[in-house]
Amino acid sequence: MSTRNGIRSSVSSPSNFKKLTNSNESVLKIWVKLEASKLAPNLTNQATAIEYSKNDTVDDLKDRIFAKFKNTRWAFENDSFSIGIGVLCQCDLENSGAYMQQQPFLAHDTPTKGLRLEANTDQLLHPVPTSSASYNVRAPMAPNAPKPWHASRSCSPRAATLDSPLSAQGSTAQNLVPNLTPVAQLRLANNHSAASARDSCSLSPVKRGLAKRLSPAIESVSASGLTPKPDDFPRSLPHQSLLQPDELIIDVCTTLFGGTTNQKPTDALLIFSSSNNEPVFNDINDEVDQQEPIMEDMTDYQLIVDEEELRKLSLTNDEENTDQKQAILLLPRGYEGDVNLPSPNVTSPSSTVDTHATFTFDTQAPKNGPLVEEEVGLVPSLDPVVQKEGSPFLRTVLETVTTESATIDKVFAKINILVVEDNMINQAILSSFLRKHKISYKTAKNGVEAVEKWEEGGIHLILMDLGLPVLSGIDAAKQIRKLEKLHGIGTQNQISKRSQNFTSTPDSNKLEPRRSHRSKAPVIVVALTASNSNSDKTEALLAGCNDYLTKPVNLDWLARKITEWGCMQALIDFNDWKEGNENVISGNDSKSHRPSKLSSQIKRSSVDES
Amino acid sequence: MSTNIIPEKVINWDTFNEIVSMDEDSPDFSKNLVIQYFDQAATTFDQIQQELDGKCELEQLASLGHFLRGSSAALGLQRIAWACERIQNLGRKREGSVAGQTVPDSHYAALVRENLNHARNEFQAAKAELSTFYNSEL
Repeated sequence: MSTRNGIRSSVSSPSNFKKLTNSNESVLKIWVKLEASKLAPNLTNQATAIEYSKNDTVDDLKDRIFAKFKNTRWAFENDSFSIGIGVLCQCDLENSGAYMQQQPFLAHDTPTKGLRLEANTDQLLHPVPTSSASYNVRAPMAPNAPKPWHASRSCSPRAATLDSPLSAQGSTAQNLVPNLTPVAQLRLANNHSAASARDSCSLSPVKRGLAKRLSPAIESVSASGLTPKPDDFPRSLPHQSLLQPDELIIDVCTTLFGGTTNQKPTDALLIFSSSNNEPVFNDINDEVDQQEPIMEDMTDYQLIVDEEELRKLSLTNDEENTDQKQAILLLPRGYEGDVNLPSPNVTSPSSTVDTHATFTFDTQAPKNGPLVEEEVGLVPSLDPVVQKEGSPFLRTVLETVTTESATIDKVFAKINILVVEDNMINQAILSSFLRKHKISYKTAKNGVEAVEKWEEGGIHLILMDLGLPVLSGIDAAKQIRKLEKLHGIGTQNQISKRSQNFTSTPDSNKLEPRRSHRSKAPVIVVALTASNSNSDKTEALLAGCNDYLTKPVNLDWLARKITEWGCMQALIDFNDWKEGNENVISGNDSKSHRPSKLSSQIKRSSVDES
Repeated sequence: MSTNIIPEKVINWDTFNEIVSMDEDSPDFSKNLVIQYFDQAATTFDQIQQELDGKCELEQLASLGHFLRGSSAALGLQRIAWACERIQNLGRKREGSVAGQTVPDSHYAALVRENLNHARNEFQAAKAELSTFYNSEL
């Protein structure tokens, strides 16, 4: 891909394009434009030339389009799976065909040049008989498809056009250019329906309406000439004909436009945005319907009733699974009752759970209603009594939830970051940035302190300066990884000897003796390297850092890293992430918490160290 | 090496403006930070000077250079950062060596001294520019 990136810049104005193609035949370009009905407001619907190389497929073209439009809203709203490239085909092109047959010389200078070319290249298209069959063209016509050229074009459900008197003329059109090109032979061999769908229909990219507007002369000629009146083709709406992703662009150009340089901006291929890019002929209206968001199904949520399961889940919950959302329903330890899903009201036989209506999904939610983001997880009961009666464990959770109701908020905001910076200026900048984004953080001034703060637990992400006094960032990272290994963090062996120490500390949860606030997943260490040198980066990665940022840290970038790694951490170890949230809340409760408590914790950790 | 070319502008405004943008949340954040930085820089320069006049440990010089370089770069004071990087690299003997010769530490120390003066000059330039920016003597 890197070599391709180099030639991605392309020409945007038609005049430039012409100049370039004339001067440099080896630069291949294809005009594309967005389909009008899907036009993003900030894009002008001008045709754009996209450069491509001769081995590029339609898929590659999509990549190039995204590269070109990469900063536009359109590009954010679409990806290469949701767009299709093709043409709008109207099946009553007999008009044009007939017209062109009549006056080919006139067509030459009109925007419908593409049509004229197709009259020439049409031969390439019709030797694919399956197309007729696949698209409801009247069956008896199929065997004849190789002959009358508009049989292959009758890709609309309406086959009646075939019966029009024009079929005879169509046949004559065929005789004009009797030779098959190699592409056509290729097509013939490549007989799957999708390709033939394209073949049958890949006519002019000039939309019917457009053609009308651009060349009224043609229309009038057509109307007065041999062609049937538009009324005769009530159902021949323009429809999408998508190109196969593995089609070579160069072939497409040759087929559609008769050569790689013949395409004009007005003949631009259309980019269809749709969630469905199957090579079927969508009516435009249908397509709009498909844009509707798909409601999430309750069956996508899995019920987890004990910690073991949760842990198992969090271990298996890797990146690939993230699109399948897992709602985690927290139940008291040892709870064995069954919970009925997908009913939003969780009924349970256990009375303890009954009193805690908090463990149900929002009861006000309509039955089988779609789960919205904040309903994933815990929803607090509105009844204060229920909250009061909850166990201490529950209460902390409830507090967490009431303070921050939206899960999506938490993912960004509720990770704990340790900033390890010896330079107060840099630390102030990073701290201020994190405060601004309401991300909780701790700071450390050197490697030793960093390890201590990490040992206190609850840290998801460490931003580690490498040039630290006392213990360098590299050594600190190594030490942290060593300790993680020692404690079995990130492995199945979860119980650490050290966690016992934490049970005696006031802020550890007495109900959950097995849980320390130590992370059960390996912490993410992002090295902050001062120099751009590769040796530093390699050294950092070898020491166990997951990532690095070059100083001075670009704050936009930092935000992205934090989101990225933060989300990952929350997914890897939900338990810990949740506990982290509890910490955050208690931290917020007492304003003076951080300096005083931390210093005492440092002392404690130092004791633990020895 | 591209890093050996001193940046043209005293201040990298892209970087500095990122800091300034945080004033939205806490007014005068950037100004206070700059003042803090100038303190820090002055202190560090003195420390480097002392080290040069005293024990002249190259490793120590390197780490002081590294230290100031970090904050300078973070604020976008790229010419100071550049001079500090020189000091850092000289202290580690990563540059300034003469091909085919073993040079004494004093050779590096002399180069560090040179760059320290350079850094001080840039410091004054940055101070002047930022004083203009904040419309008050810093």
